[in-house]
Amino acid sequence: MRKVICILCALVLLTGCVERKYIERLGIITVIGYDLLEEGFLEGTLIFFQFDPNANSVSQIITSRANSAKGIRQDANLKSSKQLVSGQLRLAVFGSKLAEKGVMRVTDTLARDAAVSDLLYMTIAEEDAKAILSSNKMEDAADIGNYLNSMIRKNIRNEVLPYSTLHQFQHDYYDLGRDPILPMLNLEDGKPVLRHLALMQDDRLVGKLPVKKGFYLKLIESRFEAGHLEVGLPREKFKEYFKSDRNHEDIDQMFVTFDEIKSKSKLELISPESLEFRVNITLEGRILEISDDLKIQDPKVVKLLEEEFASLIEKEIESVVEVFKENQVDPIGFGQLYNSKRPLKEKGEWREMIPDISVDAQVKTRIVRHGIIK
Amino acid sequence: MRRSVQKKKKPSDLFPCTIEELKKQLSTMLQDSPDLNFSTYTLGQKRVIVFYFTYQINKEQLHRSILDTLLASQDKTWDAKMIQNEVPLASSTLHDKLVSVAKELIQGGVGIYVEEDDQPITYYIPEQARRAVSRAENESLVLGPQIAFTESMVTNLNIIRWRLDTPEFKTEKLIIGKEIPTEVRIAYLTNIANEDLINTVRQRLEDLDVNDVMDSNVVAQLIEDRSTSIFPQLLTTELPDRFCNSLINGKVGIMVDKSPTVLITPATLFSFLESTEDIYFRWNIGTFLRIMRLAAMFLSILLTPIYVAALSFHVEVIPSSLLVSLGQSRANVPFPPVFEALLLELLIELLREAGARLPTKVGQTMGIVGGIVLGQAAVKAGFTSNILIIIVALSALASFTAPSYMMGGAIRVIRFPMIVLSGLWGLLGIFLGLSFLIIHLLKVSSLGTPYLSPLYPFHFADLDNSIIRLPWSRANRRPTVNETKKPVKFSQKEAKKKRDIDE
Repeated sequence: MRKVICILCALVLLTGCVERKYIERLGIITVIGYDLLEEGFLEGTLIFFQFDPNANSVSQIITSRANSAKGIRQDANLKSSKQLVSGQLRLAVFGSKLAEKGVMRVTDTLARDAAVSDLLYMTIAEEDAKAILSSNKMEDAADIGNYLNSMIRKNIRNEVLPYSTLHQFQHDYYDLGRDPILPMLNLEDGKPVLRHLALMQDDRLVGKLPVKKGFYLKLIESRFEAGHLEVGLPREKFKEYFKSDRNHEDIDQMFVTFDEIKSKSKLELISPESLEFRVNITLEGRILEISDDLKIQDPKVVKLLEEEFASLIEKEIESVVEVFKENQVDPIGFGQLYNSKRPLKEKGEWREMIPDISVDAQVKTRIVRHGIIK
Repeated sequence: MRRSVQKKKKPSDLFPCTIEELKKQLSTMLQDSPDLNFSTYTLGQKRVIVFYFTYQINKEQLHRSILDTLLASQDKTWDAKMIQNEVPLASSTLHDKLVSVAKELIQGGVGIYVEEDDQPITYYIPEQARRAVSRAENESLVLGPQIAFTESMVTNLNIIRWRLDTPEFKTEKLIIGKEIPTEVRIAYLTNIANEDLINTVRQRLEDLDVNDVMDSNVVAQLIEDRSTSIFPQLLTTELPDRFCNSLINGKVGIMVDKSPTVLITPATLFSFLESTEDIYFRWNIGTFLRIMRLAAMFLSILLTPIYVAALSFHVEVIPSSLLVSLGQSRANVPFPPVFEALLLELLIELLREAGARLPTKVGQTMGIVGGIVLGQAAVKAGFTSNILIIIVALSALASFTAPSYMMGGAIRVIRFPMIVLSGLWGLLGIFLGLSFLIIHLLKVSSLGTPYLSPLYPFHFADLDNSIIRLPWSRANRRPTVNETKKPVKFSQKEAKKKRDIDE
């Protein structure tokens, strides 16, 4: 018994204590922005919470420079009374200059830091990250970090943006035959907004895709169960079914908004030699709004709508794939499919093949309901 | 001369003797008690002495049965046999020795001695101060019987017999305590309770070598398996319905005279979290209540330590929506979280203790002063953060949901080492403490029955009536952990049959 007590005491006394981090003595970084400066320096913009009884605002912003991501925190510590910790980091913004050179330099250290959550969102700024984080137009959010974070989270939940966490980024980066895709932040009248998706070759930014086109990307890639879509269908085809003349003759498109879209997709590699892919998509949706006064009760109209909608989606998918081919990127993972049939040796190998792929989209749509009011 | 020879042979045996001699000897033996009353009557040719402790006997019985009979005819010459025959009382004893007479007097007897007779006679007509049967105060219920046990074993047995009127109900009488003997009864149903269990209980009680027993709680501590544990290993209750329900399920009860609580064994951890009210409620509500109490126990042990750990070591685990409010409430506090938490927990414990010790009238005011005024002032003064007040109050409330006051106390005490551990090593410390606790609970047993049953060893059927409660038509098994003689109460098939009038 005495031996056990001795050992227990030794265990307690010799281990000492874990490093204490009292919350009120910390500066808790929530958003961090990285920019590349001319001389090869990294510039970090840190938004963090600090808690003082007399402070008006808990949110603070600090800019610091260093050669490495961790160095930025060291440097920032010289500018703050609080100890800066990255345990609550929720969002990382990369400046376009840094992104063009490759973000892996920074994300690697984020991923290896156990305190940093793997579920942190990654975004790319169309200009400088600093400009976006310094913006003070943030609606009624507590601070800019909060605003950006909830904006991105909401749009990912609504399936407008692809799932762009650090974890997903790393996964796509290390996977053979697949590239990451990240949302892009831009300033509109000084307010950060989402307009584009960043197309990446590995970790390098090479092009942009409008956020709206991101829908088609998701459609190919996976099941889809939310969101809504606004499409313009050619007016010409529906001419005979118009009910009244309150139709807008001057526009040659009829706009239809769908919501409650549910889709299933199946991507197949038909021939590994000729790099032919086929994607079968079945899609259900509800019509929410039509810009013209259409005889929607007529089953023929619904049928026509479904057909037009399907062909439109097919066309859009082709155009999106065209963009991917031009930029030699593969955010959908055609290469993964190829890799499973013909194993790839390295990432570059697939990159050379991307311009030669062809994708045949087969879309079936079904309009489940049209107009709840009627 | 003959008498003196006899005296030398057997010094305690002085009968036959004169009345004066008896008086003297008895008074010396009973420490010259001023309450010892002697009345001498001359009846027929002989003097008769009646003696008793004035406060120990029922005066009415003395007058009506004994004195009336003796004094009815002045000419009769009495002897012990005659008295025994004529006095209309059942509990007469003839004594050879004065010591046994004295013992009987202490317990509430009346002694009668006819001068120069061979034996004095005593009648047992005790009058004990006892309170009336009243409502349960400590284990109060909303539904179900409100009656509670009292300090008197006779009353308690009366209540139990009323509830369990079956010849299978058996009690075994034991006397414990060398200097001050106390009556202890082992109670069980002969057709249900496990023999080994009864033997264990009997043996543990018989082997007790103590001078006196204060209360049933003391008996529980004397016979339990592991006296170093913080957890109670025998269930104490003041509710007859709970006691009887346990006996019906194959447990064994121990009743101690002079104690208003009885013991039930074997007890498992979950039996301390059961209330009879779960049984009176509908089964689904009962299940909810039981699971809620179990969750409350964990909450009570873990909530404050997690707060301390998160705020001292692991900023990462705080949900971002709570971060700002937690940080701002902490910003004013001058102490580290572990001291802040210990301080507030101590405050709550002090309040509880003060409330329990103070007279009821003052106790209520204490609650208001302590709870509202102190809490408000502590936050205003920057003494503690208001979020911690909520957490501490929640965990205190949760600990009070344990139906057993004993178990509630154990849970409250465990919290303190857990807070210290979390202050030293954060979440690691909490898990160290929890592991220690779980290992300990696995090793504890209650008279040989595993404490964590039915979780370990796992008995699926026993989950009913421990963690959950099934509808009555399905609850047809007695707990296997009690190893009863009749494990099945009724056929489930029969119970499911619908017997409508038109069938």
